[in-house]
Amino acid sequence: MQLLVTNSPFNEEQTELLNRLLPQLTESQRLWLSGYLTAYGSLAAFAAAPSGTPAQTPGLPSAPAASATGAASLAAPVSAPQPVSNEVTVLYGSQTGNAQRLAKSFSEKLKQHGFQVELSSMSDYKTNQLKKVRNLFILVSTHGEGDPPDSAISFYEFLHGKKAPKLEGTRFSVLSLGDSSYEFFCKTGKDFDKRLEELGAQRIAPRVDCDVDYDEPAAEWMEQAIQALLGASQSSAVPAEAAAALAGAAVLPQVSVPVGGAAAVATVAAVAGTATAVVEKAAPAYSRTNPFQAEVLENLNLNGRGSTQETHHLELSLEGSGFQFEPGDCLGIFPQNHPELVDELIAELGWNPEQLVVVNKQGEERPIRDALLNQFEITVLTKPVVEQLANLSGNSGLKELFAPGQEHRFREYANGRDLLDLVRDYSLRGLPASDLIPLLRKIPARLYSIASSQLAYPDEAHLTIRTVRYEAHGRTRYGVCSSLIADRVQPGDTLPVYVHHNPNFKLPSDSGTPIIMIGPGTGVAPFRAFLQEREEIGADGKAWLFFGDRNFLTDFLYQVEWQRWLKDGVLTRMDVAFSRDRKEKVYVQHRMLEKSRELFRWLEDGASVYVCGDEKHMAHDVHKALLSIIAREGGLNEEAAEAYLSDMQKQKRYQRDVY
Amino acid sequence: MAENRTIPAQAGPPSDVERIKRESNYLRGTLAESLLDEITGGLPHDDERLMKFHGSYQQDDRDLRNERAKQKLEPAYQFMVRVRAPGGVVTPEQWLVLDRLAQEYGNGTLRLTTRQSFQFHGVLKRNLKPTIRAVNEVLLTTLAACGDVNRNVMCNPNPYQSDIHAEVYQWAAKLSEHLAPKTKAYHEIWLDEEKVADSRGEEEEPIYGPVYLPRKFKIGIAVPPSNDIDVFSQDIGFIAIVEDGKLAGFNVAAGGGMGMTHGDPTTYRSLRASSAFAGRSS
Repeated sequence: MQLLVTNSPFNEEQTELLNRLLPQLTESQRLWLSGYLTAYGSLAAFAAAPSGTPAQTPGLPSAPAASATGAASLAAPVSAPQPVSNEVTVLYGSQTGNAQRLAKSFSEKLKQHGFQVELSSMSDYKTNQLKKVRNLFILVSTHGEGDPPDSAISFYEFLHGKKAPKLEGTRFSVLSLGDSSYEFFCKTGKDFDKRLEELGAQRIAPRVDCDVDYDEPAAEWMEQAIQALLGASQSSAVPAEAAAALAGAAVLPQVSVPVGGAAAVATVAAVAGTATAVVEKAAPAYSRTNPFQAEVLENLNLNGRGSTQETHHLELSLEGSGFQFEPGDCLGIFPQNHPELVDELIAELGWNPEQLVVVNKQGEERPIRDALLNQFEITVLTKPVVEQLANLSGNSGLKELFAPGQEHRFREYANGRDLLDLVRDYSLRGLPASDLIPLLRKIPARLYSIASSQLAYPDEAHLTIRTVRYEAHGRTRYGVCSSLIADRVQPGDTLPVYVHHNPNFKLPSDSGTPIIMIGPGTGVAPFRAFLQEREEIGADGKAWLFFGDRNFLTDFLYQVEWQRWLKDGVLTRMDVAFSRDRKEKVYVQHRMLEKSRELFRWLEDGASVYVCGDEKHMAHDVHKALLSIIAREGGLNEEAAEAYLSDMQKQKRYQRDVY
Repeated sequence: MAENRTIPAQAGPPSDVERIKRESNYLRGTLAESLLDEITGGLPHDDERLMKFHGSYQQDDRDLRNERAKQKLEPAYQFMVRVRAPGGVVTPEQWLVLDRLAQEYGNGTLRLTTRQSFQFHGVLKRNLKPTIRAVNEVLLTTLAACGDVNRNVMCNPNPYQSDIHAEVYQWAAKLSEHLAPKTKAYHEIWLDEEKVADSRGEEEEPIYGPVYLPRKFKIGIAVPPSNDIDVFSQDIGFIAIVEDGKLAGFNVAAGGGMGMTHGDPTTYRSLRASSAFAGRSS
């Protein structure tokens, strides 16, 4: 069995060495080695500062008798179990499920190493327990303009507030997720990291900030964190465990059932909703790192002739992918860059499009044009990339954008500009492709809420994609993925896709629960999936949809489908707001306020509220409207109304998918 | 010589429109609610029929039909609105309002019909009320411009041509007013007048009753020697008789009609079948 970085406490070099050595050993060599390591380990334990060490290592797969007894007998003289430092608390703050997934995976690894893990969403964590925690790991994403995700807000405020405890006996490390195209990249993670240190906690592994391509850095952080933890706790778990591993115990796959059954005591606090067994057990062959080529079945413009907008309804075949998803989940598409832009860029840089360049750490080579078309991001200027380009080019003007204390200069420049602008404005022509291309970020996948239910359309995924096109700095710009779909994709073509599960945006498990859905524009997509699903299962819960867009005649997305559902009773009520039909602009929140009494009655009946769509304005306005309605109809003051809504959120009755 | 002829009743059950009229409570139906329904730009079937009495037909843009169906959009519903004015006579102020409405709520055209009415096209459902209200505010109306009622009364469009012409125009206006539906429904729906509880249902429509006429009814008045209004094609045609420079009365011609159902030989166009004389006193 191969040792890997991801299923053992060793780094790349070590696993390489071990994987070369171990298969060579004879039975007696192995036995000798295991005893040697045990003695080595316990000597080290006595020599270092004594912290609690468990005599037994719970939850390990049973090793062949000889080495296990050997390990156990040698381990016996080591000090009695002090469970405190064997306990680890992993807290996550997740918006779309990435941090949550990583946290779960991390906690599995910790358990494999014999730790007792308490895994919890920040929103579920009882903050008064924090001061007792000895080992704390935080995995958190940053949202919007540097804000914590919804589920992390209350914990974030607690930690930064007056009631935060001193954490002098606590060891910690932070993993933060983010997107470097935002100015406040990974800010929430950075805040937590800084604050924990301020409270006196001891950082045992440096914080790692991950960009959208988070798999590798996250794995490295987990690696470092575990090593640091093992080193810090000085447990004899190391040799016994190493012995077991050396004796050829089964290597455990990363995504799996907890190790060792009964012995592993792990308190898994209430995890958000419905991370389904389906998702966990069947690890599909296709994934984010190995996308599936989905065939396009249908691609049509939903906006009527004369509309100011273009929204594409895309139907993809997922047959053969093994993907399973629920309403509320998203599909990620890896787009291609616009060929014209690529050609212009290559010409501007004076490169030969056929020349080969190295495109990844493995040393693979591709022609420049192919690489820029398919692999690298060229439409968004991110600070890390541009800073490196500044250093590479030596261009003083470009360097000035990063003068300390002048953050706004880069932000202002980068707004609405792309790599082609940069090359032109700062005369980067002549920089060799072999130097420049490795600095570029991999082209990120674009996520779209799936607009269909697998129950209704078993081997398909439907998407609702608005074409982004605008003018900036003298050029026409466009959304990379949306313009690909609008202009260059036809039935028969394929797109590389994967399913991104969103555990925080799910239908209530009880299909009799009333649901209120607020989804203007493309935000209505997941609600089409919601209603298809409810229709298939014959749900009898009431449903209320608020939709809005610009013009009734041309922009009423999926109009006839809502009409049919209203007629059939799958949809109980629908309210619409078309902002450009009259002089006064009217939006969904106005409709909500008009129906405030009825809406509040639904809330009192236990309705779950879902908001999907634009984050910047709509989500905020809708939130305010909800508070207003709760206050007015419930006879509550502002604080009480906020508590009411916050309570709903804790009950998973207020869910948002906003972007 | 007068002849008595009884035309036998048509065989078969009444058309569905008769049920709709009867159940409509004097042309109300569910129009008020349907106008407020923002999920569709059209009207439910029954209300569509009733809309005619109020002066409007529901249509949709035929060119976009298939395209929109593929796009999961309903047909591009829009309404024709017809304004009734006896003889087609309007004041300059009224004309300017019609012009403005055609541009603001219609598709920018104004049509003059063969019955001397004015027509807008392309009016969206949500703009029906403001359009019709504006028409009424300038003392015109859309009521009974279509539907199973007496339609626009025709006469020479120039009341200034002679004293006779002026008087004939007054008669056209009087006929029009007398035969207009009396139902309060029109005012409730378009002019926001309060619904008045009325137990005496019979009074609501003294001439027409609850189901109105079987079909449209057309009246025109001609002043010889001109037959510009095609008097013999009207259901009732009045021909002015002038004696000593004064209007003495009308010859009455009845039985004209342009309606027929294609391919159905029991229906046919005809010119007047009978005539009589009506003096001023009658």
